[in-house]
Amino acid sequence: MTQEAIKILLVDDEVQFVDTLAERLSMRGFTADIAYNGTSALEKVANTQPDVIVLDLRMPGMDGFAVLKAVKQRNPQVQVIILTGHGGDQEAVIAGRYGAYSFLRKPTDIDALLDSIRMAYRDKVENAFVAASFAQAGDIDSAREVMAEKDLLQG
Amino acid sequence: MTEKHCIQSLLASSTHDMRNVLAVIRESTGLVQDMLRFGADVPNKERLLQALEEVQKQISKGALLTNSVDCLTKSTAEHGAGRCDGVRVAQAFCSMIARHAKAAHICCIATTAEQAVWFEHDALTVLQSLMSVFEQCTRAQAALCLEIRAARHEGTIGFYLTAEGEAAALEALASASGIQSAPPPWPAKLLPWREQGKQRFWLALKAYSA
Repeated sequence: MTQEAIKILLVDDEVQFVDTLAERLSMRGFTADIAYNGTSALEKVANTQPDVIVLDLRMPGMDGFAVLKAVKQRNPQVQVIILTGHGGDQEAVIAGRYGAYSFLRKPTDIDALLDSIRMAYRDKVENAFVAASFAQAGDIDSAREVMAEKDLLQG
Repeated sequence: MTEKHCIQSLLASSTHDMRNVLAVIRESTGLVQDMLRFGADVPNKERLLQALEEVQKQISKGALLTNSVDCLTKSTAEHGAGRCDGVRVAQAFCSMIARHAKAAHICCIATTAEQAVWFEHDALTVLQSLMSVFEQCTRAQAALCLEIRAARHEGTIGFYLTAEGEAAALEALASASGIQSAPPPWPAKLLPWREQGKQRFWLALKAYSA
């Protein structure tokens, strides 16, 4: 898997933070799109179908939990990593229930974030591969279950 | 509005903001390292300076936040029991609540003043009264800008509040003529009036005193 192959969407209302993070990811060979609020994030998910979303929780208007729920309802295969300055263990548990892949607190090390992004992407690819195998064998129900497996396990 | 709830809200907002400050510092300094490590032999000087300026800016923001949190602990000790500078408390409140306010589309601005306005209350009591007004604003769920100025008015001390924003928020605030907490009730009352087309309030801090 090449780094460029992972489509990342960064969602955060802290413009300076998210712009600089995108710049640093770019220097490591990743391309990251940016959304500065929840509504814009959902539009970008519909239009560009990212592999991994790095999502802030507390934002003006639509907050991160609302975005997470909407993404998991519409595109369960998209992996969501929460990266936030808000909240503690309780928020982490809720995020897990809603289907978040992992929960990171700001300020996080870029290598820790990249590890999480790579693992989330690998999980997504593996899920898609297994689902495709079921689908090829004509077992559509199992294929659907695999695609939503993470949500079922975490919900 | 209990003391505990007030402290929790202010600390939660401040902690969130401080994490954002640290996150921007980490990314900006990380970018400088990256540019020197991965970039060209001659790094983009302008971008380097911009990143370092951002670090300076965030450090100032962090220092302001720290001083504001310090206001909670120091005011009583520095100025005697039950006494605080309303100007400083208003500034501390606006700084500490900024992150929660942003998420609620509310902007709180403390008017700066050269002279202190001494309140015969401890800082926490004063912060509670401002927090009650802020929560009244959030219940309206509408965008609002709230300017806060510590002052004396007809022998009482309190805050002049000038609110600008959506009608729903202004109406919600205007309908809140009494702001109090339980138990025990502490002295505060919000008096609305309109002046020069703006919604203004006087938050009196002794209205209920016996």
